Amino acid sequence: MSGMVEKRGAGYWLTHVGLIIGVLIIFFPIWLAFVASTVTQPEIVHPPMPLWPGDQFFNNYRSALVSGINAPVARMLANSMVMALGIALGKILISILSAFAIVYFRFPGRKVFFWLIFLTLMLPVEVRIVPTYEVVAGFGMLNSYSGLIFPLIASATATFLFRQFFMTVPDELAEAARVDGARPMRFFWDILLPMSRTNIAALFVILFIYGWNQYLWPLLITTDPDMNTIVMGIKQMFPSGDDIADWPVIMATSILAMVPPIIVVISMQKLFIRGLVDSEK
Amino acid sequence: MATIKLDALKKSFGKVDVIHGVDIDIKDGEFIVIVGPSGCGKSTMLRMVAGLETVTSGEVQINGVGVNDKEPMDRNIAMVFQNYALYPHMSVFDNMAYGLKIAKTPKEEIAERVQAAAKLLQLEEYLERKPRELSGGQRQRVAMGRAIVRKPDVFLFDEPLSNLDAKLRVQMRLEIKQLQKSLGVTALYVTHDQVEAMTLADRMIVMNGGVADQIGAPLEVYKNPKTAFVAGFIGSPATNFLTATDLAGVVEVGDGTLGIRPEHLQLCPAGEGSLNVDVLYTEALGAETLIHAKLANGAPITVRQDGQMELPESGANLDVRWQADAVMLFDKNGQRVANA
Ligand SMILES: Nc1ncnc2c1ncn2[C@@H]1O[C@H](COP(=O)(O)OP(=O)(O)OP(=O)(O)O)[C@@H](O)[C@H]1O
Ligand SMILES: [Mg+2]
Repeated sequence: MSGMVEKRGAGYWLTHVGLIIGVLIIFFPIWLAFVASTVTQPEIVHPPMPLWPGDQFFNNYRSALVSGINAPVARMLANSMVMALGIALGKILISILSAFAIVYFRFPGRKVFFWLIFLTLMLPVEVRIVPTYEVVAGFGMLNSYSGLIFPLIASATATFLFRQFFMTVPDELAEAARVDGARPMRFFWDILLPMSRTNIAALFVILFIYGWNQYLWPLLITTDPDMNTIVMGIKQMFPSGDDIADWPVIMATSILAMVPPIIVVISMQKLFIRGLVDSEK
Repeated sequence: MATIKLDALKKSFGKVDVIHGVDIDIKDGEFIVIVGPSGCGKSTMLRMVAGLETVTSGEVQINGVGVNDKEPMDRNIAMVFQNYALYPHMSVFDNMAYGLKIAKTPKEEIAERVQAAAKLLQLEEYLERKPRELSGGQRQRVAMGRAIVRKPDVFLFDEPLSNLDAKLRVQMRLEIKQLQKSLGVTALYVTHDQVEAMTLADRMIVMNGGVADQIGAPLEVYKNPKTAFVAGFIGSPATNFLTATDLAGVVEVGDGTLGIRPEHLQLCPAGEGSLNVDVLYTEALGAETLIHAKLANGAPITVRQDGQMELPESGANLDVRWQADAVMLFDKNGQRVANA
């Protein structure tokens, strides 16, 4: 009997030790980046690399935020924020409306439209990047927020997700609303949207991070450093030729780039879990 | 307050005809129950009256006005669904108030009407709760409340009690009946439960595969079924149907059938009745006893007798007899024919 308990105790601790080691391994590069963002340039380039934070935290972060290298990091953060929010909210808006149309309305070509949307799953940004660039350039949207956001808004995945959710909503609910006098859009606002809020929260987290992490597209269409987003901006900070990289500032930028997604995940996670706990249908 | 008229009402889904032409005039304040087995088109008919389903041909009239092309909200009806269809994210109050809000009723009046309905349905304590925090019976009441507050001309019910347990069903059945009578609202009520139909209906429509086999007051339908289907569907235990071979010369039925209700049969010693049977088993239900037996040719027959009467032994060989006027004769298409 006691043997079993001991055994279980050992397993318990072993799992935890395993997990802790795993976390440490994953966390280590981030720790190094953080350390590098708090020391001086010479300390980084002369091995061995320091493993504990130095005293340059405020200096490095201030210089990153205010002046950066090509553009102030504060500016790039703001750009990324606009882009990520624009993409996340735009995707949610468009996909929830298209799912609503596909599930609740019988219109000619409904199936065709559904499959067209579905097909775009096979066309991620990278595949259609050249023609998309042509179009965006043709509209004069290079170096603009609209150019950053609009081409990435269409989302088959999110449409699909909302479609699946709407199909689990009992038909009687729509019928009851119809008897109550709600026209379709009223039903959408008053009933469908509030019922989808947990799905929306979950999608928002995923899509915000998707938007935040965009690299290739902003790299292609923002030539003006003032329009750079932070994820591509980090790469732009690397020196070309014989210039010396300002590693502490670059590392500070990297750390700063991670902060908003973390905030979004943590704050939305609460809402997400609350939504799950009083889940209802 | 409303009269409803269904005029040669038909419905097809694509090539499948589901309702084959139903006519009925419903008087103001009447409680009409649509009853029939699963899949016979009860819900479809109700939904055509509600405006949730289009009419293929024929007409639905409310207060003498054709409403075929009107949206549900313009027909001044209220509907109670089988699964209640309460809005899950809204409180009980908001659920009941939603229709009024859309109709832009003033706030004070909404509150007043919802309070009144809540009082009537004993829901006052629950107004702030969400539907998921209510029991089945309470949800059922909220669905009723949602129908009442709108002061509709017509109540439509689609099997509103079938998700409740037996005891609650009996209780809610009474409440619905009282409510409808006190409000004086015309009601159409769908059920497959014949007891519900018998107890609630002023008149009932017995549906059989998309055809209204009989429309009439419950007792009239029970006493005087127009078809073999109605005779078999209304009344419990079900009517016995006997063919010419079963009857072997006792009564002449030709290629038709003879229907006789179990409660109209009596057991008697062999030789004293009309048909000889072997008792298979008995079900003593207390107030009544059902005796399942078989005829000489193996055809089953059920006899109902009072609970106080003596139980026959299993395997006993007895006779059954009946009063001549209890016999119902049907032709080979199941239509009632006059007793010879
Ligand atoms: N949207 C539809 N498309 C095609 N056929 C349908 C549709 N709705 C109903 N039916 C068919 O119409 C017939 C009648 O259906 P209905 O729902 O009216 O039956 P019901 O009498 O209410 O049965 P139940 O007691 O099981 O609810 C059924 O055979 C059903 O298969
Ligand atoms: Mg039905």
